[in-house]
Amino acid sequence: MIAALGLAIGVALGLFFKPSVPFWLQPYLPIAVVAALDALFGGARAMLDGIFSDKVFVVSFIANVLVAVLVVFIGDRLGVGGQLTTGVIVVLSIRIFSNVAAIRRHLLSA
Amino acid sequence: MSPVSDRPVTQRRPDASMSLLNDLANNTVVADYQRVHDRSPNKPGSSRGGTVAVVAVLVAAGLVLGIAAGQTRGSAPAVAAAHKELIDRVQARNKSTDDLQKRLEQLRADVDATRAAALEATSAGSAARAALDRLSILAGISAVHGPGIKVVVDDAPNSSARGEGSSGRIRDTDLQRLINGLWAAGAEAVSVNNQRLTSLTAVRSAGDAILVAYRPLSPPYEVLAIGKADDLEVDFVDGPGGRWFHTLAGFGIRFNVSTQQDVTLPGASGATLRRAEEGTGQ
Repeated sequence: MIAALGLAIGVALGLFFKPSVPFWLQPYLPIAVVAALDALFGGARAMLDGIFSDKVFVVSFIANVLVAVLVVFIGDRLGVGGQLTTGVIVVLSIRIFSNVAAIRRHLLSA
Repeated sequence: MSPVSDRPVTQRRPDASMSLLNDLANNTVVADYQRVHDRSPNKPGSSRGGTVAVVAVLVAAGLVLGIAAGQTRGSAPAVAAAHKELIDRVQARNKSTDDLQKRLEQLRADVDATRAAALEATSAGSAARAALDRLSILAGISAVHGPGIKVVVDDAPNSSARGEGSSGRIRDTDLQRLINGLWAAGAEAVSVNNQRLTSLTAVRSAGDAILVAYRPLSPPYEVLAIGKADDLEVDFVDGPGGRWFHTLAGFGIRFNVSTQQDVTLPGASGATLRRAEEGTGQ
């Protein structure tokens, strides 16, 4: 409940205040979104499994986003930014899929 | 030492070759939760400060989502505007090129008229002007008219498939054979789609289009030639150019020759001085 509220507040803040993102950071925003989704779904699954932990959630979220953005940033510097972006997106989305599948098994028992 | 290996026989997993994919799918954040949970199963999962941190992270996550959504929505009109801006710029440049071309033609006409007036003044000048007129006709610089033939060739009707391999399309080499056939049949002046040919005009292809005098042409190709009309037609149709297109007609290429009483050919633009220099004395 409180989790959904926090998310909703964040989305509303982002949409209404439209904080200006520095130009150099803009290409990494989509990557950060996918990394954040991965951490969110991981947390949701852990909660349903009954093994949720604040520390792991916070640390995994920050680490996920930072590492994903950093990998793409280094890739951009090396001239393989596009390929590394694809790699990061593929890995994260496979994880999102498996997490969502686990959540689905919990909620619908199917 | 027994020759038999004493390595323990390990059962290979049937999906061992997909270990990377399995690793990706299974090595999720949940493994970390499980490890922390296993280490201290009795410790409650959340504390007061922990909850605050979780909520803060959730707000941050929502913020990232919201900003990304806002950015995507906000940047769509900007992208469209940039696209339109580029199109406008291209069109403006095209228009200014056309204007400059028109101005160039007008200035050329002015130069010709001024030169003609200047040469008219003396008898030596008149002779020079007559020679100049004759030479510029031969060089293909001045517009000419006279009896001749019109040759219209077009791609086969079903040749809409663009690309190198498609048959039924006229290539630059076909057009070259046609033009060479006309010269061989005694044509005195030739133009293709209103582009006058000089002895230096190239007929070649660039991608899908045929370039004549570096200007891309689109089919149908209308080739005009001035010459002794009846002889020109007969000699052309029986000559190598006509025979070539007669063969091509088997691939659906359309080929039509007609005699014209009077055809007008434009002058080629851009006669460039290459060798001559201004005299130093007298």
